Amino acid sequence: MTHLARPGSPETPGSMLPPDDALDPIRRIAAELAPRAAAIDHEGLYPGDVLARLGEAGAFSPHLAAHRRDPHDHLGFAIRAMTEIGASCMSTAFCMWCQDACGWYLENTGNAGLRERLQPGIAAGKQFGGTGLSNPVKALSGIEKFKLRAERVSGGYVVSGVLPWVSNLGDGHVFGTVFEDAADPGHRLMGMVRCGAGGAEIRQNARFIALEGTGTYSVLFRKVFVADDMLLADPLGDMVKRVKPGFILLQTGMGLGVIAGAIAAMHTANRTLGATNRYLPRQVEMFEAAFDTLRQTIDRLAATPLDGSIDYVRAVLTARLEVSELALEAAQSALLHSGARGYIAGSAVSRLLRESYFVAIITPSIKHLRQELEMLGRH
Amino acid sequence: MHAVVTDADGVEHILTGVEGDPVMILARNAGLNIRGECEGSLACATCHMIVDPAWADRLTKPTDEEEAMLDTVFDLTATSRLTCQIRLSAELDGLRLSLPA
Repeated sequence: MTHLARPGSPETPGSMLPPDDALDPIRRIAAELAPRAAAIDHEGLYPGDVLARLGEAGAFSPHLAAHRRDPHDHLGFAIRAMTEIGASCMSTAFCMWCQDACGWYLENTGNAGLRERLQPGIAAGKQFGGTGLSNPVKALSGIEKFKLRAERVSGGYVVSGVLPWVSNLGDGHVFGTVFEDAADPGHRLMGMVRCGAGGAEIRQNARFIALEGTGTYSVLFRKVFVADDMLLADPLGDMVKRVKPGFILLQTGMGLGVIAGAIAAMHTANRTLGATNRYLPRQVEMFEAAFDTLRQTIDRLAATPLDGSIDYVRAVLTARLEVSELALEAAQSALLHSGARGYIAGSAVSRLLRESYFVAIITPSIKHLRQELEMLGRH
Repeated sequence: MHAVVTDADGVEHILTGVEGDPVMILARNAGLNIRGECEGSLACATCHMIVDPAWADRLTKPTDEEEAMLDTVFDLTATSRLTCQIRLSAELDGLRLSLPA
């Protein structure tokens, strides 16, 4: 990524992130990852070895108090790491988001024992994790019903139901999700679930137009026992509300990565097609400026992920929405800059287009963000 | 050809289609409370309906994949099916189903 637009100052005012060169180890991994992006995207190659290296490099720990490596680390640095990787391969950046979100749930649980047991492995990339919060986020917003129901038994809960899409999964991986009490729908709880032997069963029945290598599965809960010591919050209380801004902000790393990848593709196209590309209505400099502004906003917001004020939440949702919209526009512009070479099956630009759609539809999607912003506007 | 779906309020909806149309698609197009999130790839169980027992034996048996998904359904009955797996045919013309409560 030689053309990744960077802010003018490595330490954006208000965020106090570590210096920009702290990302160099991540950039080296991104460069080595780029040639494998097509296989991950299309052939279903799961980038587990890359994720392990990212864990060793500290990509999953900036937002985890017990594991951060630099006193200036915070959520913003995790987003920057994801952006670097996303510019080469958004599938891998998406897996990073899953891992980061999983660590974030553990960061915010009152169950210190669970945090101490699982978070070191998540932070180091030795234990992979995902997030099954799409359905709960939508259910809590009244968009759909809870898909998992729990029955109280001795020492824990027995959970039934199915979550259609949970990512960064494999046998032995863990993920956080929310259950509704079958006996009392007003009682919700959040727990960590382990995939495989004795746990939830994962099945890969569907194929997607991109991101095939992200370990995305349907998770079948056929009376799965979730022990009390795996619970993140019971009752749920404000757990989802507390983790949601961080959960959403972390996603911006994927989208910024796509935008950065599209900017790089525009520069590449301009080397040979620049004389004609200058007639396109949206030029690469416009995207670089928008990227810079958006990233500075996100750096600032990422410094205070537990600010639950309405103004803060509104700013987070707006930034996330702007990332989605800019990713769509940038990927389209990359194709317009590249012409037929971008339209060839397997081209990096065609992958960017499909990746940008993912940024726009993953929960919270553009429509959900707009809905939530409108609802917030009434407060 | 058609299928008849009774909703949770007891209202009957006639779904008209052609041979091979999945009942899930017809129900969704008719605005019934059926999500069909996985487009029939047997990944979600959000198209669960209950087949009228009088018709149940005329359907082909569920596959292992469908059975596995049905095991996760909350309101499972002896004639529960995923309607993405049921396609209109001459043999099933007039098939009757109901939406779970």
